[in-house]
Amino acid sequence: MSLFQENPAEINQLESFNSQPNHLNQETEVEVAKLVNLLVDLQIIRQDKYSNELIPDSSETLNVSSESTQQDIEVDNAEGEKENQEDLPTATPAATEKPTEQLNSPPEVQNELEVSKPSESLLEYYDENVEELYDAYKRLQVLLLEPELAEIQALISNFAQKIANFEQQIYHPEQLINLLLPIVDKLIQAKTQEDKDSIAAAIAAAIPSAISLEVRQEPQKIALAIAPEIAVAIKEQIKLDPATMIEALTPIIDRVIENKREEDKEALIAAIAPLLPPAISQQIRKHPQEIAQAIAPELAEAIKEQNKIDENAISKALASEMGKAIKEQIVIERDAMVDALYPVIGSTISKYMADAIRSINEKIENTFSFEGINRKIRAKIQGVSEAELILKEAIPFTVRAVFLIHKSSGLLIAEVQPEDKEKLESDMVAGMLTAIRSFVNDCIARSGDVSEIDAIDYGNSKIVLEVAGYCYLSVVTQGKTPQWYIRQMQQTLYNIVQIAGNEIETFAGDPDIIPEKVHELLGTLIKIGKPAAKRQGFRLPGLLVVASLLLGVIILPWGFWQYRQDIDRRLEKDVTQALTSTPELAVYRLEARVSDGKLQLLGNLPNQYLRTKAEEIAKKIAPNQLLENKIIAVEVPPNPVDIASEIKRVTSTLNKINGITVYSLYSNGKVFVKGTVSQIEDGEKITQAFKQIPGVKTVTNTVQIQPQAIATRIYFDSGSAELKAINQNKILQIKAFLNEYPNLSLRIMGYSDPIGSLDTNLKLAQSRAETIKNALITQGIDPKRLQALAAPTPPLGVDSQKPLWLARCVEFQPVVSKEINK
Amino acid sequence: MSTISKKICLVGDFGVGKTSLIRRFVEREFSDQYLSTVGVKISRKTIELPQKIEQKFEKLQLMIWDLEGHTKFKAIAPSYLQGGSGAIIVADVTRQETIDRLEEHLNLFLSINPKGFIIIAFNKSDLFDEEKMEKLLTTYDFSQQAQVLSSYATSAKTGKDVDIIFEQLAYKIVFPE
Repeated sequence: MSLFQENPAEINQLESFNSQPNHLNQETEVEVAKLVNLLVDLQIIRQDKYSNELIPDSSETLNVSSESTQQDIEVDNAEGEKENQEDLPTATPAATEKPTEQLNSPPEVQNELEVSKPSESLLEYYDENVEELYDAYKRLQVLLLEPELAEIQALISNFAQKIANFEQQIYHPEQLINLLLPIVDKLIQAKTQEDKDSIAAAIAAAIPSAISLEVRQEPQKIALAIAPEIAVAIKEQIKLDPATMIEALTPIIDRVIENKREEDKEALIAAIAPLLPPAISQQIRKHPQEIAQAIAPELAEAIKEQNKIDENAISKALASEMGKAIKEQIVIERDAMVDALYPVIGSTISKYMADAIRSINEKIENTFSFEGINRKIRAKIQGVSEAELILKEAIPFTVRAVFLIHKSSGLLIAEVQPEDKEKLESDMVAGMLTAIRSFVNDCIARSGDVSEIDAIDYGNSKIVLEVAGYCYLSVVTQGKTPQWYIRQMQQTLYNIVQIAGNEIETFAGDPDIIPEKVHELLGTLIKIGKPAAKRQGFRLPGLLVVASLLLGVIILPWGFWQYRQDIDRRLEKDVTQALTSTPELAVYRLEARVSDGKLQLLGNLPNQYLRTKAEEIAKKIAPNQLLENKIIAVEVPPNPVDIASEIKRVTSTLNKINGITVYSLYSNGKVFVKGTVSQIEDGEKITQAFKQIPGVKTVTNTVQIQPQAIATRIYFDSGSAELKAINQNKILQIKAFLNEYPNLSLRIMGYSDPIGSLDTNLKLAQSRAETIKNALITQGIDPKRLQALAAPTPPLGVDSQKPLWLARCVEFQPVVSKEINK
Repeated sequence: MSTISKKICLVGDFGVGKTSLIRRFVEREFSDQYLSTVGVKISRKTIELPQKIEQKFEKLQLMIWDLEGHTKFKAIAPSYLQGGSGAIIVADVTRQETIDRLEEHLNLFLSINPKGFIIIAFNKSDLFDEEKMEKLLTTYDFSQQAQVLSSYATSAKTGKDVDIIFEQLAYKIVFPE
């Protein structure tokens, strides 16, 4: 700004020099005089007349020259400031105007001269020789001033140029900036070396606001400016302090990145790469939900995109981890996994399965239908399981596309695809199929044999190929392709070749040359897909109706009969079981038989009673059944061996009863029983027991009543008849026995060892028996029931070999009271 | 107005850049990664044809057969060439043997499709000086062969002369005169 103000001042100064020629000093005058002399010498003017006249001119010259020097200096200064400045623009017309004006205004100069030197002689001279003078002046002017003026003019214009230039530079700072650019860094460097801190402080204070201002105003520019260095800078900063980095870049990061991405993708990727994995993993740790939400909408798209770029990359990347990841996820949260997969897999599978199962159900329900029987027969013939056939039938046969393809070039001649389904890429399919055909023909079916690939199976779909001379028909089908359809294909291809054989042979990629009829024929192949299924259903039952009727005639009665049989067998079994589980009848062989709707009981039983009983049992099992009792009640002659063994069994059973000891003898239906019983009632029981045995007609019972012996003996010391204290228990036992059998009396037998005289021993024995009798009487036993006896010998079974003390005892013999009373 | 389809084949030794040329032409992409083509890969590109008087077709659908490269163990299967209206026979300028075998491929293709048109592509020209390329093109001159349209120094990497080989071949196939 200061420059701008200075400039006009200088111009004013210049003008003031011009307009003040009067202030010339003496020295100057001398100089002028010299000059005049010179001019005279040169015969330009006459000395006497013009001695003073030229003063103003020369002074002007001088001033101008001094002024020009000044200007030169100034220009130099300016140039010093702006080194390397390029060519200045040409002077503006305004700048050149002034000198021209001066040049064209001689009268003015005249006036000035007059004012400055109003000398008498000069005035006169003027008056006289105006014309001449003017001419001379003119000439002088031309001689003197022209070169100078031109110089001045040049200088001024130069100066004006520079000023204009300055102005321009000020108004349009780019050039100035350009000028300064090369030295700015030097300046800063110099200053930085001098005083680093102050520079840093000065810049630091301004930078944030400057950047933020710039970012607000010209985000695009900032982005562009930073772009080339950003990768390196970010890398460095990420290493140092990732947090600040994020904060600082947030406002412009999107634009910067965008710019950088356009410019140098690789560097940006390299810069961001190290930060990404930890950043993502941290974010996932912190806010898994957010990350999931953020990625979710793009995920499918991203995967799709990547698949487009490199089909295998995704699967390769996932493959190794997939199994583990799924396993892990199932362990962690099975339900989430199920939920996640359900909408996709669940519905797909369930939909498919529902269809398939419905269809299978129908097939199974129709097992005995014509179709079912037909299938059974087919399964047998084809040697596959019926289930396989059912599954095949569950997926209906449909046609997805029909292509007619040029055999050698693989170009598509014609195609038909159903409207409602997604269209196949027919041109590509045609090309690839042709390539596959060529491959198979070249590499597999090489050695001379003319075999053709006629079908390509994939899953439930199939591409059926039918080849003619110059073209082949390719039909994409789903479900099992029936044989009749292949025949239909062959027929269609035959017709097509008939109609358009030539066009096909010379086919060169123009589908329009193919007659419309070919398309119609192909159309029949795709339409046939559905009604064909019905036709198939109609043709086969013709045979089936006959077969089924025949089978029905045979099977129905047979089935009913079989059913009836089943029921009868079951009834027979039940009745037989009931008879055998009845104890009385168990040993007899009885048979139940259902015949002509009647339940017959067959077999032999020993008596009428058992026969009736068997009938009752059968009635209970089948109350509504017609019953015929054919059991014969026979008097079975008793088997003597059986009777003898039965008698033996009864005898041994009786002997197990307390107090009964019997022996039996059998001969000719007569049983002789002898033995003893302790009670009179037992004798009668024994007789009855033997009489119950079949075959026994009479029982002769000679059983005697004999009370039980008491096994207990009481022992005494040698020569003593005293009851020992330890034997008191035995007395109590005997008392209890007597109380138990009140109709029994007790014979108490005293014994003695053989030492000593017989008489003494007898007395001793007697006194021993008396001792016990008294002891029992003391216990409250009626004396009438007790009888004390003595024997001079040792008791039965105690002989001389046995210890002597065994003989010194008392023995008890129970007897029926009557006997004693007798 | 309708679309006409034509089959063209890319023939040449393995690794000369047949697949890359197709990829550059069809997908406008290039990858340094070498993936050997097994058998055949078929690509498709539809070209708008310049409108001429009494011209029937508006578009040309090029079915581009990318054939497995010739190796010393396995020659190119002739049946893949059947029905081809044209071929681009490719050599790798950095491998002399691939250039030497150009004629062999050319004869193979013409033996099956005598009326087919051929363009020779000296591929990977970005790896070679321009002067050398010029010399190469003059040394291996197939112009005496009537069916050979011209030879180009191509680069699938830079895209140099890629479109032109396909387009020139395509136009010649559609407008043989």
